[in-house]
Amino acid sequence: MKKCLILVSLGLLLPVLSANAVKLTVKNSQIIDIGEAYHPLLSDNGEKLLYTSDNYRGLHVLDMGSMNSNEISSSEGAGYSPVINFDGSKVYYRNMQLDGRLRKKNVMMYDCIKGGSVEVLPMGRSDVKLMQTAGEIAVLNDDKIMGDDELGSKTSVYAYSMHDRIVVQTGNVLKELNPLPSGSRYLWVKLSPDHKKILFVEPFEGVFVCDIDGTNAKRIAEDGSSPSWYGNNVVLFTRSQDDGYHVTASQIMAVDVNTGEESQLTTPESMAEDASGSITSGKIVYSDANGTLRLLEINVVE
Amino acid sequence: MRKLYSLTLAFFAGMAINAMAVEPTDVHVYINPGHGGHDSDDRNVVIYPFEQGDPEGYWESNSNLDKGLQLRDLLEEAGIKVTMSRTTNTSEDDLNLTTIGTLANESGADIFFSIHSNATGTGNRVNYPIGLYRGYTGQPEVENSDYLAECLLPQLMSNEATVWTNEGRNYGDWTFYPSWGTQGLGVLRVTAIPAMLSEGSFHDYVPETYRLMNWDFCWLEAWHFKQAVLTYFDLPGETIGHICGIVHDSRTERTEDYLKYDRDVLEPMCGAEVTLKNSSGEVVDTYTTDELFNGFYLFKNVEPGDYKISVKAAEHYDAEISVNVAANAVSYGDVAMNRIRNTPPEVVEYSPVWNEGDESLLCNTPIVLKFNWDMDTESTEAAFSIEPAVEGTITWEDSNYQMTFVPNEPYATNTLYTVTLSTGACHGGGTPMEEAVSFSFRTDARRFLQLISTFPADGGKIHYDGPAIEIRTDSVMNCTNIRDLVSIKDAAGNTVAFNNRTMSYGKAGSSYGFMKISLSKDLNPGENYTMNLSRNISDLDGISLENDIVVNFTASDESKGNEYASMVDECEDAATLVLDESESANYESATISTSSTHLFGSRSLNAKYKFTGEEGGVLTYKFANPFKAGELLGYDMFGIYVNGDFCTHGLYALFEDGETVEEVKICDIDFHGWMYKQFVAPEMSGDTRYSFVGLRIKQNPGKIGMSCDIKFDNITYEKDGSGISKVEISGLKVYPNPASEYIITSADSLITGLTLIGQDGRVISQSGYNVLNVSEVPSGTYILVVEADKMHAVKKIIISH
Ligand SMILES: [Zn+2]
Repeated sequence: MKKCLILVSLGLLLPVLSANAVKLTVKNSQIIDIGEAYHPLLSDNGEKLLYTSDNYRGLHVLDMGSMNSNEISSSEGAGYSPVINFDGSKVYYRNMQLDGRLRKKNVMMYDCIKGGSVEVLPMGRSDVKLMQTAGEIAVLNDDKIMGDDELGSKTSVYAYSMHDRIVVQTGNVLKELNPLPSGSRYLWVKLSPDHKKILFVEPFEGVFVCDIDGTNAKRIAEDGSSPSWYGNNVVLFTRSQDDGYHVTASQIMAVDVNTGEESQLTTPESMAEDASGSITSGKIVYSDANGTLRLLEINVVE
Repeated sequence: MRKLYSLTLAFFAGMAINAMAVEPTDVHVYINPGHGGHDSDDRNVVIYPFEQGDPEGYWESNSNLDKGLQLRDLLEEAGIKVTMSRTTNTSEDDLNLTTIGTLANESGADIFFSIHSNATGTGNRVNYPIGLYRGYTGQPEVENSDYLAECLLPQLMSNEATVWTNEGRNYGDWTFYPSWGTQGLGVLRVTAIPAMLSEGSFHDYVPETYRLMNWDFCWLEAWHFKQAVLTYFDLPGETIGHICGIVHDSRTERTEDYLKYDRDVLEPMCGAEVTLKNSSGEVVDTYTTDELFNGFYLFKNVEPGDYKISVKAAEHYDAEISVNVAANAVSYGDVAMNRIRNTPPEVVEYSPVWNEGDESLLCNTPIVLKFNWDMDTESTEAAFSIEPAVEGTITWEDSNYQMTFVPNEPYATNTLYTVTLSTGACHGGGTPMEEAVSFSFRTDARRFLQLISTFPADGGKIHYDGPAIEIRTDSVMNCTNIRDLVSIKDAAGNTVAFNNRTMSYGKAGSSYGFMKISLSKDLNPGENYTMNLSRNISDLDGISLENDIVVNFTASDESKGNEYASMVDECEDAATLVLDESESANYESATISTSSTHLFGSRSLNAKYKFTGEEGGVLTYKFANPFKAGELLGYDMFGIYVNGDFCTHGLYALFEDGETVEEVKICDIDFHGWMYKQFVAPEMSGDTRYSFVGLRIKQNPGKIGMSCDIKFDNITYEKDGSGISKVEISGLKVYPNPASEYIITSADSLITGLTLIGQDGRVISQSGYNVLNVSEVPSGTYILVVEADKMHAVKKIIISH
């Protein structure tokens, strides 16, 4: 990626001197020794970790304290974009199956305390979204939030992408946002824990943050993928390079959304991707190209 | 049995469910046209008339997008939902591979295509499609990805407008790119749906590069992708058909030197007007081929039925072909166009041009005829003759505008030849020449390249350690491929490789040719080897050897010498030998130093010298301290280890009897590397006692070896001061004398060697036991040195044939 090369060569990784810049440093880095695992997702309290396989087949939950792992599902596609609530007690995920070459999926809910899954939505071809905001999780079916009652009642604001658009949903009221010029596409849409900002990626333009009403869109990185919030002021994302065929370098970056100050959490050679963090516990987990999971303990320097 | 039956039933029931009809509107396809933005990860191929990096030239991102956009349109027309990763081609369009995969996942698509083309990136050029999916071959990470690839491959292979060099293949990317481990193709890493990357053809196979510049040719690939989608989802096909093909000249070939196969050899027609007519003769559609050397035409959406395709192209006769169109198929129809040749053929240029009185020509001179038209090869070859008759080979170049005759064997020397092309020669349109053409030339006196000498010589030997060979010819050799024409083989017939970096050879302008090269390993002492010279070794004029030549030789360990000898000099100190300028002549420079190339101790004496002219050079080196001053007897025997440079000059030993210096020939330096040579003091006259006082080099006339580099290691004395009359080996008999075939010796002790020495002191022949073959030795009087029991005895012997 040409753009990415320029970015690195301009030395944007150098510290920007700013009074209130937030900078992340790695206090400790260690391998989570559970064999090959990909696409990790940490609960907001940092106590449970979801992970899957290279091809999203199956879904597991790891207790970060005891390091005991449980299989939630062994199904096709179960590991694709699940959601987990604040304390890791509940998980929504989807099983996929092919029907005459057409993809169908259902929605399952897994109870981490009791163990075992129940089907929340049957197999179908409708656009079902699994949503997560500030430790709340919900299922969006046919523009309706289907959250579990006790979870859904706490908060009712979600932001997500639907057909390349940003949708902010309060209760069953939908609002479509267009923070960038028309024709833009929106991916990896995520609401900040304090519900004030929306993180998204415009594939051609980069990583952005805007206000909840769609105003004040600000580019925080020229090129990045799989971004996620680390508190309300820091965004984690993957910066990678490729030659048009395969990924040649990949690293985890953190960026202060207020100042643009970047922190390099891993080197480009680390082939790291898919970071998921919990500011409550000061932990970040990521996987690399070989399926090794790593746990970073983070210092936040103000 | 019952159980199995019900199982089978259940299986068919399952099939029935899967076979439930899918509507096109149910299907959603994600299209990723590979690369983007003409940047560092795009692929540019330089083709005329575009420069490197020209945005108008060939870029993979362009043809990938042309295919992708037309695939989108084809699928949408069929009611299928499509999402694309990009629809333009700028640097911003070059999306991160993870982002592309995530976009595809989030789109809700059922399948994913990443559209690319391939390149060998080497001088080799091939053309075939490759399909790649995530995982190992046959074990896709996402199920059905391999089936998707299987649906596409036969579609792409059915394209007859291209030229395939190989059968296409599908692979898992982990198998195809083993060095990437299970990382695989970036765009397939994150896709959670059946996905593949298609390398549709090779965009650096230049005829294909030109085709991929054509929008409609890209449509054809897109149409095959659409067919793969219909197959994959088991959707109904189209009710209409399509026609395409290539318009090309029927005979004229492309002149550019890029690789081309099959029909791609023929010149494609640019700007040809192609007309489609139905069975009633009504014009249905027209098409003009582009200016980018592909000749491609396409008629889309044609009702099934019989059609005629007629083509007009500049300087060609009109052509017409019939095509049948079927529903949901592409009908292919290449159109071969015949050139208009409106004048009779004639020879516009020929060679050699030679007139009586001109210098005569080489015996391998090719005969070249150039014509105003491309010729019919059969009639033209039949009309060609040469007198006196010579067997030869005819080749055609420049799309049959040029014919070349090369004699299979060189012409006879000093001979007048006459070449005639009769009026039977026709051009490609069948019209014959109006006038015959005839011309003559005379050959010179030289028919073959002559081999002057080789090292080792036939029947000769070579020191086994660090061996180098050399061949010399009477004119400078073309050494470009000579290593393929010379080989060294051991007794078992295995080739002994050369050390290629050590090759040296004569350059144009020299009066003779040579090629010297070291072998890549040591030889085995005592083993027989051959040097094999191909008759195709030629000089710079292409004059070659008359026959293949085999040179037999033996490897020896020259350092063994004579173990009973005592030392004259160890050759460690340059001060041992001093140039005697008063007895030297016709040299430019001469030095004595020591060299680290040695057989014994740590150094050797190194004589380097350069003669002034081609003859008369003499260099006399004297020992600082003469050996055994006034003590040596006639026929006292010596040995010397010489490292030669194949300069052919004579090496002599100098003996002084107090008044005169007598020279004894040791050898000609007709070898490379180390050789052990023996020599004896001259015959005594009266009570004279000799001193061994030095060495002399005398130039053998010729241009070879004007600059020389010779080394000496130990010089040894091989008889402990006893004279001819005093040494007797008990019971020694030598017979017959005179001898003609063999000299046979016997004694009370074991005879360990015989050496026959000429009157000039030169060693003529040697044997390691008691019999010596003298059948090849000229008649005359010789000295025979007999070794036995650590002693030497010397006898005069006459050889008479
Ligand atoms: Zn490509």
